[in-house]
Amino acid sequence: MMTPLRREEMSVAMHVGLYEGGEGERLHGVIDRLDRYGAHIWIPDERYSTTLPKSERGFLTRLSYEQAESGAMWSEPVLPEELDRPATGRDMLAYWAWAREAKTAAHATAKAYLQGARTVLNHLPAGLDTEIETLDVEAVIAAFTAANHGTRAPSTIAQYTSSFRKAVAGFLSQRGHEVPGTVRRRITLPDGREVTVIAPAAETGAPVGTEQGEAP
Amino acid sequence: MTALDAASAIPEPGWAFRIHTLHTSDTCPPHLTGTWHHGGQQPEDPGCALWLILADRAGGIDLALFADHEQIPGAVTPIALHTGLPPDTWLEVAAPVIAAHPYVTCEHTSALKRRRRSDRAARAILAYLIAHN
Repeated sequence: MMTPLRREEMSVAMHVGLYEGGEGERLHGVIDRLDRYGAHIWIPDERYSTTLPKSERGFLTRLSYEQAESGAMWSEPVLPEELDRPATGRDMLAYWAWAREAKTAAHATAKAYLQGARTVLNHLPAGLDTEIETLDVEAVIAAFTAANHGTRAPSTIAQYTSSFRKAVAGFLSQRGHEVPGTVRRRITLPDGREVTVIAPAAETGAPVGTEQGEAP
Repeated sequence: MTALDAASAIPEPGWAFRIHTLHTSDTCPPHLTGTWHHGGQQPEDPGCALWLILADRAGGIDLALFADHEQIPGAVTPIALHTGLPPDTWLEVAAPVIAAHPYVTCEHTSALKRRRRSDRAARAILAYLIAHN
C-alpha cells in the first residue's frame, strides 16, 4: 500500500499518483494548486487537445485533503517506466477505445478502426505487441492481403486494411509523429492563437512531410 | 450504521455493503461504516452510493466495488475488482480507491491533527486567562 500524502507534505509541482474518483483509474500527475480544502492536480494526457503542444495536453482533477490522507493520493516522483516504452498495437487499440468513449472520434469510425487494426495486427508474428512507430504499414497491408486472398472477400480485406491504415495514421498523428501523405500547417485563429493542423498533402499541393507557414 | 473491517465476518453471497464513511488512521488499519443490503434492495436514502461486494473463497477474498449511476436509477458503474486478496489486508488494498470516490465520506485521524486540536485548546485557555485577569 502506498503511503498517503498529508496536507503538510504537499507542495506545488510535486509529482503524485492518485486514483480518479469517477472510474477508479490510477493516474500520475503534478500538483498544480493547493487551496483550503484540497489539491488540484494536472494530469498530463497526450490524447487531449491534439492541436496543442504535447507538453500542454491534459486535464485538471481535484482531491480533498481528507481523500488524500485516506490513501487516494501518494507521492510518486517519477513516471512509471512503461509509459516511456515504444508504442505497441495494444496502445493503439487502447487509444481508439478511449477515443470512442471520450467521443473525440465518431463511434462508428473508432469501431471500424478497432476492428480493422485488431484483425491486421493479429495476423503479424508479434500480434498486438508489434511496435507501431517503426512499422512499415504498406508492407503489412500487402502481406495481409496476400495471406487472406481467397479466404476473405476482397471488399472485406479492403475494409480492414483501409481502417488499419487510418488507425495507424491517426494514432501516430496524435503522438506527434509525421504521418506519410500529410503536411503540418500553422494557422492563426481569429482570437490570435496559433495552432498546428495536419492536412492531407493532396489538398495543399505541398511536398509530403514539409511544414508550411500560415496560408494567405 | 454498521462497522466493517478486515476482521469482520463476511456474509453469504447476495449481500452488498453500502459504504457511508471510510475511517483511516496513522496508526490503525482502516474500517468502513455503512449498511448491509440484500439482493439489490435499495435503502430509503435515495442518494447515490458506493457499494462493496465481498466473497470469501478458498484462494482469498474477492472484492468488487460498484457506484450507483448518477442519472439511471438501479444502474451501477464498476469501479474496481480484486480477487484472491489476503483476508487480513483486503480493506487496505481497496481503501485508496474507496477514498477517491466522491460518494464516500473520508475521516482520517492523524496524530498531528490531535496535537493541533490540543494546541488550539491550550491557546483558547491561555487567551481566556489573559482576558480575564
